Amino acid sequence: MVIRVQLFGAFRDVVDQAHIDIVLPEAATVGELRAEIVRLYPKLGVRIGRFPFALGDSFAKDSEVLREGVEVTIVGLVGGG
Amino acid sequence: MASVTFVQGPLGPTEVPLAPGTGARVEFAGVVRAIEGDGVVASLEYEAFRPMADRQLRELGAELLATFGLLSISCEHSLGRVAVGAVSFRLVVDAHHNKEAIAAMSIFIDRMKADVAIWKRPIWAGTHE
Repeated sequence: MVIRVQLFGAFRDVVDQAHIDIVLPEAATVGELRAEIVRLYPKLGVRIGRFPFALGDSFAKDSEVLREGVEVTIVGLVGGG
Repeated sequence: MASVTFVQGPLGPTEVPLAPGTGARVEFAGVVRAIEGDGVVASLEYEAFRPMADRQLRELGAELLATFGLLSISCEHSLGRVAVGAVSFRLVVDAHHNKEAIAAMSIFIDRMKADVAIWKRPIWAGTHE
C-alpha cells in the first residue's frame, strides 16, 4: 500500500516537497513507516527523530497499524504565535 | 464559549463582542517583529495542519474555560505571509475578574507555541521569495 505523509515547517524544507509517498506492506505500523522514511530519506530521517506522527487529526503511537488512504502527518517542532 | 478562527494574511482589528457578564477583558496581539536572532525579517510565513490545529486550539480553549471559569475565549491566527509590524495572532479572554483572565491568557499562549500544529518560517529581508 502507498501511504502519503504530509510535511510541514522544516521537514518540508529538507525534501522541498509538501508530501512524500511511502510504499509499505499491508498492515504496516507507524513505526515501520518511520523506519522506511529514515531509510529512503536519510536527511529527513535524522531530523524526525522521535517526533510524533499524526493519523488524521490525532497523535499516533508507533505500534498503531496503518491502512491505505489514511492521512499521516509528521508533527515536528511547532511554533505558532 | 471558545472560538478559533484562521485568517489568510494579517489580522484586522478585533471584532469580538463582549461576553455578557464580563468584568475583565484581556487581549493579546502577537506582532511580527523585525529582528529574529541575528537576522532582519521581512515577514513570517505561517502554515497549519488545520484539522489538528483546529481541534487542539478548541480543546485548549475549552479546558481553560472550565478551569478558570472564563466567560469566553477567542483565538485568531494568521496563515500565509504576514509582514513585520502586522498582527498574526490574537487572543481575547473575557472573564468576571482579571486574575483568571490573565492566567488563562498566559497558559494558552505557552501551550499553543509548544503543542499546536502551526509552523512559521521567516522570510529574511533582502531575499526575493
